[in-house]
Amino acid sequence: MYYSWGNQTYRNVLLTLTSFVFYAWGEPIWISLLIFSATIDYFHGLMIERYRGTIYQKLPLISSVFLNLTLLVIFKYSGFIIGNLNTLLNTNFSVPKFSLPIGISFYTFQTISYVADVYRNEVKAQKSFLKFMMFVSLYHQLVAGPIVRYAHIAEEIENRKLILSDISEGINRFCIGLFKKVCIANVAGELVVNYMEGNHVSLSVSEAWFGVLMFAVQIYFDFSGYSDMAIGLGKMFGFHYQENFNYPYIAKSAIDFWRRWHISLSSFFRDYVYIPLGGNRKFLYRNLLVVWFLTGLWHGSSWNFIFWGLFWALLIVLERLFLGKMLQKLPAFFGHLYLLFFMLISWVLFYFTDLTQVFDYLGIMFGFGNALFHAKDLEVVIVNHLFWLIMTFLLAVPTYLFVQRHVRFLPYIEMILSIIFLVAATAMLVANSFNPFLYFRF
Amino acid sequence: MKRIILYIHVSFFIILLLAAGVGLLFAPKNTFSEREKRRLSRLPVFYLPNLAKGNYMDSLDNFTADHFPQRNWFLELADSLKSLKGIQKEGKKVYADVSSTDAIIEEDSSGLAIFKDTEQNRNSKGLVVSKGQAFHIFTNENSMAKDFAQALNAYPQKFKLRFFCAIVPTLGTYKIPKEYEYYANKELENIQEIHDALRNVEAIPIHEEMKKHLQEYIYYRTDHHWTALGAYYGYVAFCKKIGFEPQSIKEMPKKFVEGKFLGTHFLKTNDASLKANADTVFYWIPNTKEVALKWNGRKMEECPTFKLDSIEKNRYLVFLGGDEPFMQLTSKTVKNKRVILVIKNSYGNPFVSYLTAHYEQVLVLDYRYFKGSLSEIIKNYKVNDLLFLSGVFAANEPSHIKKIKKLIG
Repeated sequence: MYYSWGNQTYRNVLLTLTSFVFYAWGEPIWISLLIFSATIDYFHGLMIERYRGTIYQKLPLISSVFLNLTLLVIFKYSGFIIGNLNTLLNTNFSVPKFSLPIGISFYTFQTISYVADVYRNEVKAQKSFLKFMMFVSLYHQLVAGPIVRYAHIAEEIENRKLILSDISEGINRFCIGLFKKVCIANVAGELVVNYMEGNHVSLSVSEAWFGVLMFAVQIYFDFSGYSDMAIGLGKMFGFHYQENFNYPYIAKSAIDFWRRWHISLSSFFRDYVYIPLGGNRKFLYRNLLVVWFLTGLWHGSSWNFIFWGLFWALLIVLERLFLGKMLQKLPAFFGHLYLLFFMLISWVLFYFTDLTQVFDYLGIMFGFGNALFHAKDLEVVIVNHLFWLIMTFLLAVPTYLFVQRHVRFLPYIEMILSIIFLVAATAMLVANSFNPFLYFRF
Repeated sequence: MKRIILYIHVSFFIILLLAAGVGLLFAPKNTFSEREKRRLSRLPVFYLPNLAKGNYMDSLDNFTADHFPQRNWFLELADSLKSLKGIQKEGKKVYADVSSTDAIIEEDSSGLAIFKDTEQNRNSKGLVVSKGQAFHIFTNENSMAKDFAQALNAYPQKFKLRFFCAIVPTLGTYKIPKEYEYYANKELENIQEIHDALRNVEAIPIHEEMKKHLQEYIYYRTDHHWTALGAYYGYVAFCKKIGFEPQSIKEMPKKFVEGKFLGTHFLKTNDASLKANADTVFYWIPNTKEVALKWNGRKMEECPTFKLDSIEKNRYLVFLGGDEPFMQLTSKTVKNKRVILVIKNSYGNPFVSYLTAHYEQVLVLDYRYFKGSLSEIIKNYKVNDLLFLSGVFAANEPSHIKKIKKLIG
């Protein structure tokens, strides 16, 4: 239907409605919140435009940021805040019980970036409510990112062309994403449950490392798979979103890692928090601390995420002080090893919301547990998954870029692969009721 | 040229999506999955409050997964893909994500089977298939041994009978793939823990008797139960404890169920080497000419001790016809007025018929499904002895322990 209508407005209406249906699939009630949030920011954008140049220009920005963050705090962090207050003050406020509206962390950030960009006069405010609604609700990335900036697709909201090669490439990208999510992240997820869930009484050192390695695989392929699907879907409809991942696991330092991991989030914090605070020109360490505290908190309303964020902050500070220079002098191998080592530790912090479990698990990883150093049955598991592990490794490193340079008919191969990926992922989805949605906390 | 190929690619993708959609909407629907041995979900009825909560869409998702066009073909394909994940060294393969075999299955209002036990895998490293034999590895990580024993200990405080408890280990206790040797003792550790915590309940060391017969066919290869022969050695252990002379198995006619038996371990894994090593279900008919009655919800009605018809889907059902809430086996040849009550799960099914040689009445109660009053049964039938019988996995399932506690009221 989308393709058969020539009229852009019809297309926009259709896309917005499909997005609503898609959102309602998971959480019908909270669609009201999405519309509410979009409406507020639509008017804020217009108001900034109207009062531009006057002293009132700043008011809508402040009000918008305030309202958006209030929504986010109420719906995402109220339980966390009240829980902490209760422990701290020994009070007994009841924790409000409602489900976290899906994607709220993503769309509030998108609208904040829109209002901020309008304020900075980097984009013009969107005059059409329909078009703005479409931007906020675009179902491709609504649920699991990436955080799309209005500025990046402003031109395409007004005027986008459907190009056949774009649609074909979009299909390729979507199918790769689906394959990553279903055939890699979900398989790794099953292994993660086996090693990281439970009480770890008989977990051996080797199994603990393998478990967290599988969690690293799961979280990367899950999240980058969703981003691929979003980028692919966007392309099918004429939108070109920015890349969200750039082979993060080949990074050589923490700073390098965060240039490659969840790029849309780190650049959001860079542009709207870090630089306005003064960036590296003044209060560098305070700014880093604030940014990483917020990054941690954004990932979930629990202390372990905050510590996770601060853990990365510590690494980045150390790298800025001396570690970065040291690593540069050493062969690249050490950089990789350093990053992978600390990254795995950070994923332990990320996985367990309960801090005692974090220390429990880290204890086992470093040999303070009671169980064996190595459980032989892990070998059976590894041999059972050998080809899958090799494939996963090849997809986590830039094999694709290498192939791109050396294989001539790659575009055609990709088209065939896309269909194979689609069928394979469908089979695994049909066969498997095991399909946990990892990013629900965000 | 490139343009044509692009067109083909895009159209092919759209056609696939449309075909799936059309198939889902219009193709005739199966109501039962032969392979999974379960009823498939039904199209959910539209109901506005459910829509608001998101339940409606969840049911719709389940429906889609259950009725996807060419579902069986996709299931086969998924199995092949899974086997491509790696190599099976010496035929060893781990299925880590199997659900608990002892989950209590209840049907919801729409007839869909639901697994009540959500705490799966608590004590397991998963299922390992080695050379056509499935092993369910018990880790004893979340031992519920004390809770289980305490649940039983409450019984002698309320009733004045002789109490026994028998916990059946799995094959892993005796024979385990070498990579899993670390877990070889875990079941016995757990059983010992139960035995030590029992008060006024006599423990029957079933595992010692079974150990003497490892070369025999005492466990199924593809199912989590013991065989009728394994159950016979369990019965011998019971006789030794209580002081009976066990009847010789050679004096009982040996029969077998026609056809191959592929049990729960196969159903969960669809493992090819298990399929190639399907089991045969043997059973021995006691010489006591017993009459079996079962409670049908209103009254006791006659039923066979060994059910032979319509058990093709699960040949283990030959024993007592499956898990009935309450049964009574009355021996025609034994007139000693002695009555035993066996409180059991499915491990008890091949076991109880042997007892008819020593008791005039053998009462069989499945604690998972029995809804009546235990005191009345014990009073009305004048029960002398009471035996708890369970496999080691079920004894460590919280939901089972809850049911045993509930039974006493």
